[in-house]
Amino acid sequence: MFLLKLAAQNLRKNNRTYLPFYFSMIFLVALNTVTQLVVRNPGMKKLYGADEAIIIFNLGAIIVIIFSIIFSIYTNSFLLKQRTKEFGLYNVLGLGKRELYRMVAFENLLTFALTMLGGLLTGLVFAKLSFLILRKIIGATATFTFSISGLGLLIVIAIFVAISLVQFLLNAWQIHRMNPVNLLHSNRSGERVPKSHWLMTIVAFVSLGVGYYWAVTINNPVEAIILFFFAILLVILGTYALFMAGSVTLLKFLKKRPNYYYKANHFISVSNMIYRMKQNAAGLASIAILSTMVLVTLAITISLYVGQQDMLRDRYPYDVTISAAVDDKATTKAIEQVREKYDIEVTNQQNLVSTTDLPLIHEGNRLVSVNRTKSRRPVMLRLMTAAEYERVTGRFAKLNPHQVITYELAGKYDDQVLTIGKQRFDIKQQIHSLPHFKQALTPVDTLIVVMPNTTVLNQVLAQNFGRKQDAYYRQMVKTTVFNVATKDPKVRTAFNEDLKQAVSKQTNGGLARLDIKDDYKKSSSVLIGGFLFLGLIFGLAFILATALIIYYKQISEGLDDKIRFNILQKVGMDHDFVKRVIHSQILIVFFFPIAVAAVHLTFAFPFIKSLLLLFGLSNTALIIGTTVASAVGFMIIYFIVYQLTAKVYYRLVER
Amino acid sequence: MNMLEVKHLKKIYQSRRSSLSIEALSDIELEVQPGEYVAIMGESGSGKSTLLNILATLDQPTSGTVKINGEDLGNVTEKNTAAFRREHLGFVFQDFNLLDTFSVKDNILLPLVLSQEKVSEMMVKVTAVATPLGISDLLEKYPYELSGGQQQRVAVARAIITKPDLLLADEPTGALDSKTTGQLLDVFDQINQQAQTILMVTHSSVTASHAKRVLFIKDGVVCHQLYKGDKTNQEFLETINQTMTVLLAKEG
Ligand SMILES: Nc1ncnc2c1ncn2[C@@H]1O[C@H](COP(=O)(O)OP(=O)(O)O)[C@@H](O)[C@H]1O
Ligand SMILES: [Mg+2]
Repeated sequence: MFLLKLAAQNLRKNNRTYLPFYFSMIFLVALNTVTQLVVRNPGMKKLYGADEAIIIFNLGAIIVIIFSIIFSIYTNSFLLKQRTKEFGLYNVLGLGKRELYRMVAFENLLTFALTMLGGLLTGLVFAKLSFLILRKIIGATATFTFSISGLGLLIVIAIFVAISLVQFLLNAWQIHRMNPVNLLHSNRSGERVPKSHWLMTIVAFVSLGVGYYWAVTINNPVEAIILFFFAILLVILGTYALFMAGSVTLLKFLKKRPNYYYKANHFISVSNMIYRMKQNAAGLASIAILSTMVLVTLAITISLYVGQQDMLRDRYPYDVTISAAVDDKATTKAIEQVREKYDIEVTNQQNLVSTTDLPLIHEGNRLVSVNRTKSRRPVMLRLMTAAEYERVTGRFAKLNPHQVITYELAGKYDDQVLTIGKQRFDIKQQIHSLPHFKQALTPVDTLIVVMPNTTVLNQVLAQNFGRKQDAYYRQMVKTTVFNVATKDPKVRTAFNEDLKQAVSKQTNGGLARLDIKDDYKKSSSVLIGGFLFLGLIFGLAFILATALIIYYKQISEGLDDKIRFNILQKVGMDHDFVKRVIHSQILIVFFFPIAVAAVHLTFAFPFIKSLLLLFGLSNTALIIGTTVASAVGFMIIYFIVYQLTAKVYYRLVER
Repeated sequence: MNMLEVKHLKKIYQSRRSSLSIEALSDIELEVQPGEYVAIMGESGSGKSTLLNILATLDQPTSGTVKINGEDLGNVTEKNTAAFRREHLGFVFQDFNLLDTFSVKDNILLPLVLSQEKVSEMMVKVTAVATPLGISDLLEKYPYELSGGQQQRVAVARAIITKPDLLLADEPTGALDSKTTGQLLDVFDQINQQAQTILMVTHSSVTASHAKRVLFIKDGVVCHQLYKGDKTNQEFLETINQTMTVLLAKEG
């Protein structure tokens, strides 16, 4: 078949132009394969805070898809630009447009088959290797093992079928509107100096503004995930518009200032950049967006990793926490026995009696128990008596029967009054610390309330949780905490195991609970190790993508600029000056996307912070530190990539 | 003093891959006085562009000397050739060599910007050169919006805005049709009347017939020269054609 042969031959012959295209398409397929495998890994569901993690990684996967679409259209257009003349030649030599469509269709089909095969294989191998490395890092109990998700692969295939179709349509459109005579005349005459688009510039700033505003004002990104997703989309849109229109508008503005413009270096840079922005805006915007993604991913995962100790301390101030009903003598006794058996010294032992977490919801300005209406904004209350408060804090409560003391364990409650069901209390005081209880941001607001006395407390319980099935909530719980003095891990493990056994045997009423810091530490280090690992896979993939675009840009610009600088040299520009101009141009192009990424990162910071709070990390200084460190680290990598590709560019431009 | 003085100029292209070498110029002798309008003729491949590129300091000779305004190009350091080009020479190329990124005005201003002239002076000069060339209406357009003839006139404007000692032109009419060729050559006559020294190379006898003196280059040497004297363009053209026939016949 002639056209098929021609198509295959085209792909083989245009090696130099096709290779980078194949390379990037294969890379995109592989990137999507890896993200899909990560997102759909069964281990994801076992993570502590799995829901948040899954949502975040899904968000990442969707952004990767959007990016893939934009980037593949971009590389395709780059290819198309170089091939338009070739199409014209075929046309003149006697291939009708109809045959050209078919030839391009064959080409796209072959490309699709090749990139799919290459990309899926690369992706699978990369994922498999990464999971092996992961197991090495976090030990045999790894939550994550490599597994192939059929659905994931199907999604990848579907995405790229769609992308190939779009590419084909774009190619066909180009053939449709081509005029072979013009094409043969010159391949450069089609490039026009872009006009400045005020409308698009305005769109850029408006969508960036709205996107930033949402990103900053959304308190809980997981709850407002849809809105947050739109914020991200707006920022992406804004970034592309900014690079495409905003940059040209700015450059044209500079051009209108003769005293600035007619300086030798400005003269050449400004006009070159205006001209260049049209073809490279998409590439630069992609770099900015990918860089932002790398930075956010790294900042989150590295913060989690570095903040592990912090989170552990916050969540588990004590080695062992036991909660059991006050009248559950059996459990207490069983624990006593274990402790005697091991003869372990126990320090910092304390206890506190309170209710369980009582689920309530906001209704007007009252709190009512959940069963009464449909669940809206939930609040957890934990009640304790003033006497107990005085015992644990050593402070004097001095409450009259209509007063309470509150402590915001999670979320905010800064009203003057607290109405629980029908009972109204004045909040006499808000405290900011309480032994055993550490503030943390959980999805559900939690409030500790010190009641004037047992009678009032029981009244509240009886009125709001008086029904038969609410017996659970009417129990008082005694929470005991202590530290284990020994550091010997074997003894600690054995002791913890025995404790767990003792408690599980005694369980009655489903209230007895045991929380062991060592256990959490183990599972959390697996989780966070896994999280860091996934983050690094994401980050690595994005860095590779960034490097690829930069490389692409340098090659395409180098070929163009070669001619331009040649003319400039003929007109009397010396070698050193050429070098200086090239250098300043490279620097601007280097600096622009990373500067935009830094601004994006700044506005993403509230998101990063509140996301990490969901995982129990509240150390702002630490988060800022790791974010800045990731940014600096990334800039160094970015700079190295840039230097390497700049060499390629220099070689192209300087004969 | 001679404006241009070329002695025993030789250029050998050494192919990098094979030991094959091409002697493009063997022994060129040439002198040009201030205000002259000289054309160098020769067949394709006879070394015209090679000669011009050496005069333009874009290429170095294998041996021999080139003096422009008494200054030996061999003594101009590599670093200073660019400045030398800017201050003493102007160029017009066959393929115009305009930059698409610049408007017509900015293309013309390019050498002045590189010499860091004052903005106010630049604007005066650009009008001064554009008006006689008939391109003052095109200043805000871009090269791709112009016809070939217009583009070449822009290139001439760019070449003469610095008031160069010597205007070098390589096949300036090579990409133009007969009508625009005529227009461009009128422009050359006109600037030559204002004392601009011009040296152009061409294979077209029509183009050469506008010059005051024509040199013929063959086998790497200048083998003949003709003076226009009082002849009209048409008469001179006939002389040139006759000479070419003789020179070609010699070969056979
Ligand atoms: N850069 C080069 N390397 C090798 N040979 C060259 C080079 N430039 C020109 N030549 C050779 O030198 C000879 C003269 O070329 P050129 O000066 O371009 O001729 P003209 O301009 O008269 O047509 C030709 O044989 C050409 O092949
Ligand atoms: Mg030539």
